[in-house]
Amino acid sequence: MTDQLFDNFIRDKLRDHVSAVPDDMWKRIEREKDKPPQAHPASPALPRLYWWLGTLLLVACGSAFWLLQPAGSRQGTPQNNLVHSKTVLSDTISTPSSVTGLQPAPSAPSALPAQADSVPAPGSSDLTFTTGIGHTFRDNGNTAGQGNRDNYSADHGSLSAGGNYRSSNGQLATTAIAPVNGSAASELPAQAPFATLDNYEPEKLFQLTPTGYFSLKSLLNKQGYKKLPVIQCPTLGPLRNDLYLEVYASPDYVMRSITATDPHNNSYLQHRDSSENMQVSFSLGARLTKSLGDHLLAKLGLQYTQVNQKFSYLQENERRQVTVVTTHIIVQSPGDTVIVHDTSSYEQIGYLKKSTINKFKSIDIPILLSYEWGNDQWKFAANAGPVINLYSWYSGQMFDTSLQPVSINGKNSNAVYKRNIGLGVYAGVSIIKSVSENMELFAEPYFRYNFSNMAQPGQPFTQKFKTAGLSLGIRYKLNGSGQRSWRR
Amino acid sequence: MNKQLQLYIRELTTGIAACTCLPAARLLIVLLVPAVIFFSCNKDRSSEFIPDRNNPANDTSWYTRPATNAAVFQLDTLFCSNTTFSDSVTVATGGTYRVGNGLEIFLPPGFCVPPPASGGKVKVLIVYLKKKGDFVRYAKPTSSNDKLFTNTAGAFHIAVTYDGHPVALAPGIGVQVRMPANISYPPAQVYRGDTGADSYPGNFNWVPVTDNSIPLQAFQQFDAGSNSWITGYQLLVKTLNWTAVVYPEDDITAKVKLSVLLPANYTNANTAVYAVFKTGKTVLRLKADTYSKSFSASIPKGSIVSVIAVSKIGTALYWSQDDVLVTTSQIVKLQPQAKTLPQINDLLDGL
Repeated sequence: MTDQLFDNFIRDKLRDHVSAVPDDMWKRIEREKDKPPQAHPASPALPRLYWWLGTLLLVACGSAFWLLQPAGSRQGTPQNNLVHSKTVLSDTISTPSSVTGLQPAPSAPSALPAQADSVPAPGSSDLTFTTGIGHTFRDNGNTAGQGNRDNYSADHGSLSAGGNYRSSNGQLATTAIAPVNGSAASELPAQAPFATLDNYEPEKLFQLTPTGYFSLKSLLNKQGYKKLPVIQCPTLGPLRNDLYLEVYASPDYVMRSITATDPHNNSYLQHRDSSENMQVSFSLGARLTKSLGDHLLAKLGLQYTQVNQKFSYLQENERRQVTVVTTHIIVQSPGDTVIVHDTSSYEQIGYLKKSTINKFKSIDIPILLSYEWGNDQWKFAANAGPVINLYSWYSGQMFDTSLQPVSINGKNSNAVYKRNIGLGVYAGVSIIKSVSENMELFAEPYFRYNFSNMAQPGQPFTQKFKTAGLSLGIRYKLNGSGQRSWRR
Repeated sequence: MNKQLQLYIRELTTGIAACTCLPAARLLIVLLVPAVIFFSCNKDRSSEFIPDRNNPANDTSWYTRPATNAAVFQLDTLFCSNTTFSDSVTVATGGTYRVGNGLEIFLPPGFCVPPPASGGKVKVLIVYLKKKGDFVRYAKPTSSNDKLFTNTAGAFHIAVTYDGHPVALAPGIGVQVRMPANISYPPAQVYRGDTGADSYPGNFNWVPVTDNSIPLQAFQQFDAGSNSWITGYQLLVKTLNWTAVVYPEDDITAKVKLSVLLPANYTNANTAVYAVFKTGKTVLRLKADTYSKSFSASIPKGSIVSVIAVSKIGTALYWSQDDVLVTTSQIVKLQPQAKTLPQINDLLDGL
């Protein structure tokens, strides 16, 4: 088979051929791997399932919209001023008496599609026929073959008419749907014993179920949107009704302001300033948040705050024993070198730098008002309100006026600081991100100021704290599915 | 808030939300919360010992040339001797002064030219090194250029000052000094003290007087008080300086190296180490070796010496002593103990 010679030749040559991998193949793969996933601008982190559900919903809505159109408009045929979205059908249809005078159906009616409908069997007592789009009419009592169709009931709430049927004599005729009240019978054109599509009254409702009404055109007219129709879920009530539990932790930067009650104590305060340094502090807390309106929320919580401060001072004339190993290389005579490792100890003199971490602890009740705005994914809030101190306690040391270290956790007459430091004010701004149906993350930079002096009366100084922090926390929706998260 | 503003805020926040923030939020929480816990969870109390760098007790450095105000040189004038005389003397009358129950000094009238403001009175200081401990007190070892004196009749120093300033002897005037000593053979020689061109105290050395500028004579005198004969040497000094009457060493005696080790904070800046010979009035100062951080000297083989170390660290004084029979090159370790000034004086007197 010489005609296969070339093919065989090529095949043999290329059978074991291995293409070289380009040098930059791994880089290309890594580049593709490191590319951030293409995200929808409004919802970058939605799982894939949500996208499919949304697409499905859109398709369903589009299909529903399309299906509810009149058949002519659906298929693109010229209509006789038919409003596609309208249909008229009642429970019972009275056919005009002229129906009995059946006319031969046009072989190819220009306005109506010729349909091959189901044909009732001759002699059947129950004449049922279907229109071109599946609309079924059932004869409610007239005998077949007589062409006397007084009553027809519609089983399907679909659009329109133009159905053909065959009478018992086998004639194919076109029928139309007449209005319920029968008055249209007199309005029917003489040439057309049957009502045509032009005679439909578009305002009559099509009965879907015994209890409900549906008018797609009226819905769209009322909505007023130029975009695709949006399904609006039923609302539970006119106002937002959210309840959250917020849990948060916050690193704090605390600024202390301390002043002397007497000018003679200024040098004492200078010593205290040089010996005390504020450290990283923190707060922990939980809040219940309840919406008061669409944008306004109230927050009530319990918060633990710990302010850390380092107190350092030098204690002089301290001594400690130090052990040293000294290597002596001694040349006792030419060619005679002795290496001696001598371990000796001696007393080192210096000073002891003592450090104590002072802790100012308090339990507070924040009572805040919050104004929120945003969308389903991102929210922003401004929060402000008073903070009430429940109880405060302390541990650590500080200098007294004789520059000796004394404890700050003394009680009664030895107490340095008050157990309750009264009222403060809180102000912050929240950034809230929805991460799941019931959970949100938030970050809240804030500032807090205590109004009252925290030192006991009789102390030679007054002291207040100002706190700046960044709360990071989780907000959990307590009334999950019963809660409407947002309304445009 | 009107609708326009609401719309604007909505668009703004939607734009902000366009970034992928959830991973950043998770990262923030993962990093921040442990960081807060870490920095907040500190030990309540801590103490740290910091050596005082300016405190001499913490100085373990050896110096090639200690400063002139180093503690080791403060030892030279720290210890008092009962063989010291200091008084105001009328130049016009002069006088004879006995020091330490032995040394006699005759100051002739007009022995110096006093300053006009002195009113004819000057201060005379006489130091007499009679015992071995005295040579340690004033850091005047009995050696010259590493050559040991086999014995020392004694050494003295005369200083004439007014208002802290030295006053020279009058031209042609000499101060007669009589020093009791055992006369032996070979005859003694006169040495004078030399601190080098820069007067660095660590440079002190005895140098022989070869120009007969200090004539030396032996004397013998009957002392009625003790009802015995007193022998000694008599000199006429014309320059006021350290002067010693010594018996030089011979050069044939074999020597071995003696090394002394001390704890780390005893260095050549604060410690002086001597070898005090049991026989003869011989005191040898050991030299500091910065390389090996030790003190060493060549000792005549077979000698019995007391190795002593005197130290001053801050205001505290320390003493250590060990008796050694030097037969071969050897290393001695000393452990100084804190002592008071009177205690060290007593120890020096007992050498």
